[in-house]
Amino acid sequence: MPLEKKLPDYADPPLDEVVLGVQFSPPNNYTSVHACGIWELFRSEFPIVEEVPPLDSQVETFGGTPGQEPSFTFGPPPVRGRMWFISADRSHLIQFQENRFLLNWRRRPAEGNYPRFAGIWSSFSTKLEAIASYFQQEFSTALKINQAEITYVNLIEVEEFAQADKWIRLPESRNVDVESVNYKVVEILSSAGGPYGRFFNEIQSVLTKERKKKALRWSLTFRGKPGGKFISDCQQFFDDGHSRIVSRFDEFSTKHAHEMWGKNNE
Amino acid sequence: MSNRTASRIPDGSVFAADGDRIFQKNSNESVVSLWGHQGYSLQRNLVVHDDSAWSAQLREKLNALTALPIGWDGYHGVPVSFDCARFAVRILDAICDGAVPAPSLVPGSDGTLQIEWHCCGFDVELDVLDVGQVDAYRLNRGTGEEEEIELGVDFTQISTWIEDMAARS
Repeated sequence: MPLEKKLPDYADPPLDEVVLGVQFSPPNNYTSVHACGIWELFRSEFPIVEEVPPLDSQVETFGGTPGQEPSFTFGPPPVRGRMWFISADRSHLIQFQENRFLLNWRRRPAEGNYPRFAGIWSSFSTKLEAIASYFQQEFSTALKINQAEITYVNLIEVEEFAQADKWIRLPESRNVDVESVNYKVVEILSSAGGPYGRFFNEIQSVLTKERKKKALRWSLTFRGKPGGKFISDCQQFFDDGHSRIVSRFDEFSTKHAHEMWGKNNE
Repeated sequence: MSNRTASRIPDGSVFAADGDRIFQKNSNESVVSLWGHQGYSLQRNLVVHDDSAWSAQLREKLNALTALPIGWDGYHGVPVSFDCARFAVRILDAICDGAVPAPSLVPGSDGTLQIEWHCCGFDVELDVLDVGQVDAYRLNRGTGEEEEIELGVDFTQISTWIEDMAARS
């Protein structure tokens, strides 16, 4: 029996935000009133509410002419927004709209370690099960998932953008006055049944507002169609996404970064 | 998160402040990250190239089909769902380049949408049941050969069907 490959582990990664999310078919008779019912499921843990514009439907597709978004508009503007249910310490946030559920963790200044993937997945899947039960009860329909996504956002503060190669395996640019950095690689994810998603590896130079510090924002996103429509079909997708993100993070970061971020199984 | 402002930095890129951070607006980052929260499009679809008569026909038809009244079929029919309609647009955008006539769009009473061509020696029907769930059928009228496939998010096969039609148009 082959040994399971152990993922690299970091004691203090520069992780700033983690997002797990699914997109699903909206129930036919969903109304804004039902958002209150969804909030009641999580209200004790997420007492703060905000309403923001809805996210567009997003699907990774393949074949034909690649890379274009749909070419024309139709229909009236959407009448239903996206709800944010926010935890009291504002470290966790639920995003809900008629066809989306997302759980965000974001680092807060006073917060310690990131709660790790297993903890976030457990929280996400429990909440998704609660929403599925609500759908069954209110709409007599199962939650049918058509896309899923896991995103890790890292924030690496630097003195100069030319130091990017100190942390990330990019072409050396020490003797260049680098004004900005914008690097992106998109991988196609395939299984025996064909392509099912994409992996986005994106690095950008940013500035933090409060301290006006230069930083690199390193975003890793695994997005696509899970193996099936139901929650039970999604765990493998998220496990695969987590593994890909950690592996790429490890491969693309330098030995210096590994030391600074406390890589444990070097 | 509501204290959002925008400013221009020396290289000409527009940056927007969100909370205690600043980020580049033209990033292709995940839209679900709070980093990128910008109040994304209020439109049901994005506009990239919106200038063909072909597009105008489809837009008009989709406007009508997604606004059908409940019971439009004399029973309990519902309008075409935005998800199905948008996925249909995604398919058409990927596989059609104007070399074949605009297809017929036929609503299903359950909110689904059928895309049909009956031309160039073929009958092609794409039954859009849901996002990432399409039953596709083709009849070659010349040979009588029939093909049926189930599509997810890979349109490669039906793209060749459209090429076959285009070759005979």
